[in-house]
Amino acid sequence: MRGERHALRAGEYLVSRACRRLPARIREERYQEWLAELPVILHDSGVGPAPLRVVRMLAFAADTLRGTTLAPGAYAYRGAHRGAHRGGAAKTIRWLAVGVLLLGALLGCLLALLAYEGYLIDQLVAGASLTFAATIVLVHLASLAASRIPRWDSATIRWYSMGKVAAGAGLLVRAIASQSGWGHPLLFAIISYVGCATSVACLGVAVVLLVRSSPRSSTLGGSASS
Amino acid sequence: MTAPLERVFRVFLDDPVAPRYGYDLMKAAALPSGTLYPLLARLEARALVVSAWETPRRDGERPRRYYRLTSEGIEVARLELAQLAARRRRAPGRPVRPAPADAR
Repeated sequence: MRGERHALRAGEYLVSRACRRLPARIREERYQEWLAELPVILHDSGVGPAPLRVVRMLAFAADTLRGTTLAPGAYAYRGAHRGAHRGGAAKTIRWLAVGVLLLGALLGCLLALLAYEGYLIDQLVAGASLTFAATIVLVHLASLAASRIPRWDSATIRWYSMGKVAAGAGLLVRAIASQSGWGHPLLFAIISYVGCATSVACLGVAVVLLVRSSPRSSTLGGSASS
Repeated sequence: MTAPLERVFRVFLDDPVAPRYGYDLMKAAALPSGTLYPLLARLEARALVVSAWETPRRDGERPRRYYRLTSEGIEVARLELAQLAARRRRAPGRPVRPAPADAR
């Protein structure tokens, strides 16, 4: 699965953070135990497509951190150092604040993406701005080039970028034509609409590739995790 | 007995001698890892559960740890669940939070 190594590394980081809060006598054991579960979750085909499995695996790792930090009561990991059970309320508030911040950041990204797509549609309907169209083409040509680099090789990003380059190119041609007074405006409006339609089609391909990038069957410990 | 403990006992009692991995228990009991592992740790501390490391079946595979109820654990689990069921029968109006159907 693409990006598996990075996802596992993120999970390992969270687990290692969780284990730092455990008493030394059980730390290594727990670390090995939780680490062994990460690839099993990542390959558990019963969970769903690859992105969902990555989320599940990261949720597992993050929740071990919650468990070692916030587990209340006398039966929690007794003897955890750094006073894990002192100042519980303050820690809860801190964790809530981090959660709210992360959620805010996620919503911010989503809103920015929506605003970007909305502005693209606005440009399509109301007439293209030369600067905006040129920026779109250049930025997505750069991301298209980056997606050819083996380290960041991603078919999903390639298709997304190609779509946006097509949309940007359509808008750019329309903007140049309208500023120079060339040809019939309807012709260039149609060209920009065709560019955007291509962009939508490429976005569809990108989504399909993202979903299909997951292996259909479990390859590691499938029978053990069922 | 807490709802998470009830779910874990029920999962274990489905097949008391079968060893269970942490992730299997998580799925079967519908509990997050941050709840399940402290719970298993305290059950193990009370000698109701034992754990052991499996031998990896393939090269490069990490050994996984599995859990099993001890004979005392089986008795305690059955007793606790029976007491809980009796309490629920005596106080039917009291709101309870049983394990979800897919957690059994």
